[in-house]
Amino acid sequence: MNETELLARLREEVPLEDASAQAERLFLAGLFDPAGSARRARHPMARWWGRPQLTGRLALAGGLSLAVAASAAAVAGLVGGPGGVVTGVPQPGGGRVAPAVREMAYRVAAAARQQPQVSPGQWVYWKEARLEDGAMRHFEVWTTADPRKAAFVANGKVYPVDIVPPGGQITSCTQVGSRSVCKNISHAEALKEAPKQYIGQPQGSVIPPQGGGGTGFTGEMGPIPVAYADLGSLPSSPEALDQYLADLKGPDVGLDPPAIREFDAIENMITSYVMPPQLTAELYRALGDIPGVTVDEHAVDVAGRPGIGFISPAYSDGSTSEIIVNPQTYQLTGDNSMDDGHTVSFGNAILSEALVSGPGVQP
Amino acid sequence: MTEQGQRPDLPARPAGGDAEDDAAVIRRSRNEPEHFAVLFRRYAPGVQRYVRRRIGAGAADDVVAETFLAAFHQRSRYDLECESARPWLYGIATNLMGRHRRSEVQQYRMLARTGQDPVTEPFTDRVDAAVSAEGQRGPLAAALARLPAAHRDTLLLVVWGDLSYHEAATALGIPVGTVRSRMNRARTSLRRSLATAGEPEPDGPHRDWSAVTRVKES
Repeated sequence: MNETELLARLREEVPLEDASAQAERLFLAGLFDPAGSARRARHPMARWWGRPQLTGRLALAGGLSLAVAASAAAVAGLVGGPGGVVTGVPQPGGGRVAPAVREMAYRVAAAARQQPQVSPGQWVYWKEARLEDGAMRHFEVWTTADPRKAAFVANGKVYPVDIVPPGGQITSCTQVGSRSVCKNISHAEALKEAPKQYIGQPQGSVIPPQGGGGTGFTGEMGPIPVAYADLGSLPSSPEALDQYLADLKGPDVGLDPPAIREFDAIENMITSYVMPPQLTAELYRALGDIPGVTVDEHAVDVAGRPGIGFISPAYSDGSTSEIIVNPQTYQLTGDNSMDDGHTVSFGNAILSEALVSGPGVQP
Repeated sequence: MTEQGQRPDLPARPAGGDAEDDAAVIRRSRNEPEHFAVLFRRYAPGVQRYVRRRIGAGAADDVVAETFLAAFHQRSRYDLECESARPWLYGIATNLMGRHRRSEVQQYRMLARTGQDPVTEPFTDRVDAAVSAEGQRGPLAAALARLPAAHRDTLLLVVWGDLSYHEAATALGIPVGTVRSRMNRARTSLRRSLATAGEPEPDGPHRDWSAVTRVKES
């Protein structure tokens, strides 16, 4: 036994074991320690998207008309979810980034990155539950990943829907007070609107033919901050993506604090598109960098399933939004809108999702 | 748990994480930052033990986290020709522990003087008393306290960090020849300290380590 062998036995009782929780937490908290937080504070953002449930509706009638009508109906009805869904109370907006939030965002991002690459035209099957206006609805829908095409089920029949039909008259309607103001728009104008519709991860349903008219489609409509076609041009580095999100501009500057508008942007993209996994991961990572976002480890989606929720800072009316992921797989399972930070007034739960060969094909 | 072990409470290891060498992980982490956690899973247990043995558990958490964060922020400068990041990480940890040099030495002195080791106290429920009372700990600790810091760093990287001379040279950014010379001097100091303390010369006939080992395992 020489001196180095003796030395090797000194303090040998210090065990080889997992890194302490504190060391891990410090590491994870610092992993994405963003200069971004400070950068956001220096750059008041201009955002042009609003809360999903406050946006308008898209209607396609007979496959020939595009009618856009503002509707606040989606936020009506201050009801609880199944069993009275209650989530954690978020901190006031603008707070510091909590290490636990960043850590969870990191975990979800890591899981998101494992998802398969999906081409824009790939058909995706969704089965969802939706709480709206106090009522639960279940529906099936097929969309392409990009989401330019969709198909819905009504009365046992699958109805393909092209978000912007190639011909015919296209009418855009906007609700002004109690009146609906409509105008004809060109196909090109409709195409400009189309990539921004919430037809993606699907909030819509079919209106069966009535009075001799064609099949209609209603779906949540709203501007999505980045068109699907532009996703590929988003910055690839975390810092650059943070900067990009922080610098988006829009007409309703100042309606909500920057942190809320950024949360909305990420929520809209995550719940509306089937994106490249790398980008999805980056958006989750960015979510963890938003000041005031909290994590609810006892979140419940509108289908009553437990999950982990990322809760937005409170809006000016005290309401919040929540992105919910599966507590084991970290996959997106739904999103909620909550009044006063507690009661779910609106929400979607993804009951099933799968890549399929075409519209109407069951997984 | 080995240094290659999988932590159950961290995100699922990214595809290919097991098969990737460290250089590949670092290369990938330049575009996928969270992938750097693969290195944390691989090496944090070992780095933590190395750091704890030197400065104690109390300060180790910060040093371990800072080691991996420093590495993360320096990953763009990592030489991708080096397949193993282990020497790099242990070198960073060693440098960071420089801030704790005074307390490290004080703890060696306390052990040499009193036989009480503040570093191992948190783990005394895991260790057999026969090992704790082992008489050569004092002279060894005294020798460590007297070593020049650079020699101590080299010695402990090799003995406690289990690095080869070449890896220690990489970790410290010094030539392998310098590692050899530091090791020779450090080992000489240990031998002298052990001899001065009246203990049998290393390799002497009276030390029954096998018996100690048996007690530990019982």
